[in-house]
Amino acid sequence: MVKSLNKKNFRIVGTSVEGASHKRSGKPNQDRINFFISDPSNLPIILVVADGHGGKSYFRSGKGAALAIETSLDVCKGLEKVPWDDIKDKKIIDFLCRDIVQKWLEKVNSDIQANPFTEEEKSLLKIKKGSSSKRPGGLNNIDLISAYGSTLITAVLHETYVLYLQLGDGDILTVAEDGNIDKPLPEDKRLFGNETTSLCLPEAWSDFRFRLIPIDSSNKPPALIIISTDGYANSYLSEHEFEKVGIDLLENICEHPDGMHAGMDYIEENLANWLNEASEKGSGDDITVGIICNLSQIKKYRDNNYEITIKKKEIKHVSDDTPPLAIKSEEIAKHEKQDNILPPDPSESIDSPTNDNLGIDQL
Amino acid sequence: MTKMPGGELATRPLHFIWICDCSGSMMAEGKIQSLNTAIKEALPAMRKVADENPNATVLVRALKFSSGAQWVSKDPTPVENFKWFDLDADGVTDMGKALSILADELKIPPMTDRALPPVLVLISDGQPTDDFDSGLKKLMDQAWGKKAVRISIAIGGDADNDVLQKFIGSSELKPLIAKNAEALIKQIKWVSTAVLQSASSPASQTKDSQPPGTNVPIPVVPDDINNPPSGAGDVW
Repeated sequence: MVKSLNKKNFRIVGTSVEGASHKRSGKPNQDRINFFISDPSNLPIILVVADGHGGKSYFRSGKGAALAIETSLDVCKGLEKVPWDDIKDKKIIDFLCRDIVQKWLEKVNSDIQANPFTEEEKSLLKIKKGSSSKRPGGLNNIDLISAYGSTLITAVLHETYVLYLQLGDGDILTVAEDGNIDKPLPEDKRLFGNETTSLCLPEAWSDFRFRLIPIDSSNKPPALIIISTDGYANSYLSEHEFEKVGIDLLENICEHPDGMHAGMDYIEENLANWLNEASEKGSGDDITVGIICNLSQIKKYRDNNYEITIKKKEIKHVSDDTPPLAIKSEEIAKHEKQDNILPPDPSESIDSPTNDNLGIDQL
Repeated sequence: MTKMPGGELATRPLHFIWICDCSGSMMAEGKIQSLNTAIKEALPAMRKVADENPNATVLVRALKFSSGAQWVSKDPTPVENFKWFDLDADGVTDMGKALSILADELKIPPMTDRALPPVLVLISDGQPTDDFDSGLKKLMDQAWGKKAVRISIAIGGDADNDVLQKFIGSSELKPLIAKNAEALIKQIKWVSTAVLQSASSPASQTKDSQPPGTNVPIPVVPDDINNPPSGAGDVW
């Protein structure tokens, strides 16, 4: 089922489909997705996806992914009152990662207490000799926790910053108002083959990758933030072919003859079909995608790139020096009238941090 | 006006590589002929498994070693088009050279990082005559060498099981020992089907969740394949 929310400035669309190979083998979809949007201010928006591991010993990973989503949303909601000047201290992010892992472990522990493993489940657990180590707080043996193993990707769009958090495989793509595609997190070379880092591993908090980017007069929030489980990127011939998803979604929104909202409706209506097709012709894995659409930034892209019959086809990367194609048209005014969604850019009213504070835009 | 987002879709490549001993001793007691027959006979079953797992594109190659080593078919060939060309036997056992050549082909590129863990099957009846350890190290220095599913088959009692065990890299999995043509046929078929099936749709997992060297869950080797009863037919 497609999840979506339509607010004045933002639209969130997301869905999860069972993988083609899972359908053949009768294995359930172990991905999960959910989001939170603050009301009435719209920000922060929190979008989370999680991918429960598929191996036999991770037999409760769908539950583990659901608990991961729940935990990350709960913890990250606490960022609503945490402005840029506070969060730029790296210790806050460290605390956040530890808190997510600790609270997830507590939920897993409660679930095990409420639903003890059956004999059949116990036979699937890989108990290693001598692995009687306990997690902090006297939680279960790590071999038991592994039954719930899951990845976790979270995007937090706050009034004064964007925070990306990722543990394990999967992807975050952003599309800027000028069409530049970016992957905000660096590559993690441990995520190779079918191996991933996970919430169920010891010291999982230290395996998170994160990036914190301020929103100010020189750093605008992305037009699109797209987060997905690894089944999506693995369905494309190459990284480059996958990155085209970003610009194509933006063009689907901007090119729709009935306006941007209709374009987003189109994405919402078709997303599940697209993901099913990607899984069938690609990886065969479960695929989950969540998209935060920032309408004012999308409009800037459209204003700069479209005349009714002219569109930009070139895929641009952050490293490209090519200036954005600027095409203005009287027809644009007609679109603005149709869409009627043009509030002031929220980022323009935010006090800019000093340049000294920008150093957190790094790992 | 609108379209499915993203570029070209593609299934994930699964490289399956036979690494065959073609030293002079393979001429004895029809070993090389039995190997040729076993692999040819296994191809239909291999293609069937590939058909049943359409999200993996099974690409097959063969590498032979005797005095030196060379690709029999260097280009990764889709299993539906793969043809087995009978191997001849002559010369010594440069197994290390074979692993070194294999390591070059497992680099990224020409491999892609979105591939499935490759399956490497080493088949030998003797002891390496060159520097096996250097070849193995070069292979294991490659990310896909480490992540590969490595299986070995010992043909007859003169094979160096220690070397074949080192190639596997896991104490959980032992070399399969073929003492006659019938056993070899069964073992080749098992590798071509059961192992291929597991490698075609490996589930995501955490580091160290599999025994070292196995990388994807390998099905339990049936007794009649792993340790067939000795009998009068044991000619190797």
